[in-house]
Amino acid sequence: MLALIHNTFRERIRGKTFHVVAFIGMAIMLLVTTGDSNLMINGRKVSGFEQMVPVALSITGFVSGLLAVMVSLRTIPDEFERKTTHLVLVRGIKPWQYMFSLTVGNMLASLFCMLSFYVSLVVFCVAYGRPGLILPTFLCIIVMSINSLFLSAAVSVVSIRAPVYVAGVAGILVYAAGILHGVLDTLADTAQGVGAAAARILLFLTPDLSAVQQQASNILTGAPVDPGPVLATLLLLYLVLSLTFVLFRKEV
Amino acid sequence: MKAFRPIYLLIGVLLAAGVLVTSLRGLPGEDLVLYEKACTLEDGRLGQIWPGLSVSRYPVAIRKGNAEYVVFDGEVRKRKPVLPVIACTVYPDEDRIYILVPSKSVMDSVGQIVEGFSGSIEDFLIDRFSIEGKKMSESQYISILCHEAMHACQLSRWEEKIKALAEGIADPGIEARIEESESDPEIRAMYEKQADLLYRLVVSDEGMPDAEAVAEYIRTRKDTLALVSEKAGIDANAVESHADLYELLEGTARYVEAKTALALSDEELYGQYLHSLKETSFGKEKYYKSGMGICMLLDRLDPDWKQDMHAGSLSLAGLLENTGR
Amino acid sequence: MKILECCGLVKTYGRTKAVDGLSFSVEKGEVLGFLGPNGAGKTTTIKMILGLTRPSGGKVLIDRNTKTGYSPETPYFHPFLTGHEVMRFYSRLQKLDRQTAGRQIAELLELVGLSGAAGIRVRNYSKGMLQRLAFAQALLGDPELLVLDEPTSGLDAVGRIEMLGLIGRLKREGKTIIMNSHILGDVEKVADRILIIVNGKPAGMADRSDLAGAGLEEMFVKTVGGAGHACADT
Repeated sequence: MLALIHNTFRERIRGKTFHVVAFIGMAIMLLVTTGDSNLMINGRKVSGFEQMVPVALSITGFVSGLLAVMVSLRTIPDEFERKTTHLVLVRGIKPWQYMFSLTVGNMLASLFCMLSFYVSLVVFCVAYGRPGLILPTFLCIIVMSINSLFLSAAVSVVSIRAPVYVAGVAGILVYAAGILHGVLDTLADTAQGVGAAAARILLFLTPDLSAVQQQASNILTGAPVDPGPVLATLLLLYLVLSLTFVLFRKEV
Repeated sequence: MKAFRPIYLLIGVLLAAGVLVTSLRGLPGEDLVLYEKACTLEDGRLGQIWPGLSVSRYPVAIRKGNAEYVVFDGEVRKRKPVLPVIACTVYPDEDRIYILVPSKSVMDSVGQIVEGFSGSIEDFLIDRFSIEGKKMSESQYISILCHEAMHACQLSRWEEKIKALAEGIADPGIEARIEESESDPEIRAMYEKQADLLYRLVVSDEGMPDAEAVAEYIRTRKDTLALVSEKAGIDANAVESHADLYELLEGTARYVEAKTALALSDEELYGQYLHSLKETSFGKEKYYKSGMGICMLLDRLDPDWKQDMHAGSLSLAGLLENTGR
Repeated sequence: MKILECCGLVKTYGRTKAVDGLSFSVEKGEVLGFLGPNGAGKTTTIKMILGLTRPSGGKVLIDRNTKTGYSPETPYFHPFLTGHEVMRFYSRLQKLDRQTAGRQIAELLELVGLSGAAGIRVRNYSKGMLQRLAFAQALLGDPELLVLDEPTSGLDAVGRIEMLGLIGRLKREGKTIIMNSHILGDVEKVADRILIIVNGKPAGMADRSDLAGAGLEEMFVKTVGGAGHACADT
């Protein structure tokens, strides 16, 4: 399984999509963290390194989320289309081991992408003489990476059986629903009937990605961290990952 | 490879146990911390804001998801929501007055729904995807809790006064007609003038406000109500009672809210309350603001006005008028 | 001694029967050739033998511990890997220890004539090079049973001669080989027995001795039913 995970990770990292998006992400980080920009948030000019750090982390979270979806989209369908599956399965690798490994490989590639953005932030922390920010921002990134890992796993699992575009749309929907979880939760509480029931099902299937982001933010600001949403998202990630044990295509 | 299955299973069990333990805690610690912070204001600061104002005297039902957590007498009790709404309000139940507030995380979302949907969608999305989104501040949440405590205080102490004012506006259609009249440019201009006068008076230098300016504000308020009465075809007394009732109920509560922010040393938030007076509002919101503004003026004109308020049957505007006599 | 036995294999896709009641066995150390026109069901049969697709009927009897190597008709490798990395990847999947893998990879790449191209990414390989690489990876771990699906497809005349020579060499070394081809001459050169498959059904089985007089071409044409099949590419 390690060979498969390693190979998937290597393929994703060597992919063009990864390089293009990673380059754009790092360029944005450079623009944001070098300060003296005209960035306005909530009507206020954001300047100064300390103010830029949360903005840079937000961008990292957002770009990494999208990249997690893009990176994970094609891995499994490509394996079936190229029929690389044949040469793997004849070597006694079980379908579940195969799907699990490909999914974990995707997750690691997503994590790597997030950490590579973070590295540019570390460089700026050092360059601006703020090494004290390295540890809190690292912890913040680790918590935020749970969201990317979840998105990657969800897209990978959907792509086992569904076409690539369905997996892509599902990934974006999960991301949006996860980020708007709190808002949808409140709307579902106030709504009634079929709409409320549908919203409840959607909420049940989607982790509260915004709450995870909030905990990451709490680490940065020194506010108390609630492990609840983080654990709940990890559990959902675990369950999604477990689906790789039972899902496979009829024809390989 | 043999170790994979047991290790994987163990991870699952640990995660499930972790989720179970954190969900059993029910009410997030953050909400309890905020409630307790609100209670610490009972060291005399709340009493200064309004005599007899207290949070801990009433059971506070904090709604989160499909449950409410009633915090009272040092205990937290979980139960099914009594009211099928997500709102900040007070309600009588089992011979007690309950304060109902959504949890902080729900309030954050509600704030984003209101601000996001009424503002630009770009702002809303940027806010949601950022790690430090536009969330309600802790002091704002505590201030809102105290706002509701003020309503609980009103319900327990001014029942008669409220009934008397409410009798004057027995016709349920009055409110809709008053709001309809607000589309009239002449009435709008009067409300704008009224808001501007009040704002200038409230933010004017410390000390006694200019008596002439106060008189002008009172005149403008009366003229506005008379114009509304004329244009909407509603009895003048009913229009006045309507304004008096909401200024009394919501104006004093908004005043408590603003003063709580100040008691929490959140001057930025307090400044926002003051600044809100400058912008003309319509619907019921205009009474929240005018009531709060009058309370702030009364603080400077008559230090005993709160006692008078409890004792007498006057409206806020009536008290303000009396200070000039 | 039988290394593999197939009894009444059937494979249907919807209403289409790709394989219809195929029975045969493979003796240890022999080369069995599958011969048939395109779409006859040869590759489907191979996929059932390898466990890549489940038979709709019948059974494949094979010792689960039999080490099997497979070279597909259209070699499909991860294009971002070099030839050496492909071999390394599959050796890891087979759990070969590093030393054995290193030795085997070098030997096999040498054997198929790809030593010089081992560091080039597979996406830049020609069809013939891919076919050789497919053959090399099939030999990783020294398998007892080799399943070769159209092993000479895409190779030029010299490559084909070399490939058939390699298969012959492996046969002499005692490997059991199932070889699938639509090229009569290739099968004829290396196979001990030939199973002719037409429309998913067994159309005839010929021993090397049977072919001595009449020749495979004549027998094949007779069996398949005459003209129209572009399979006499000798």
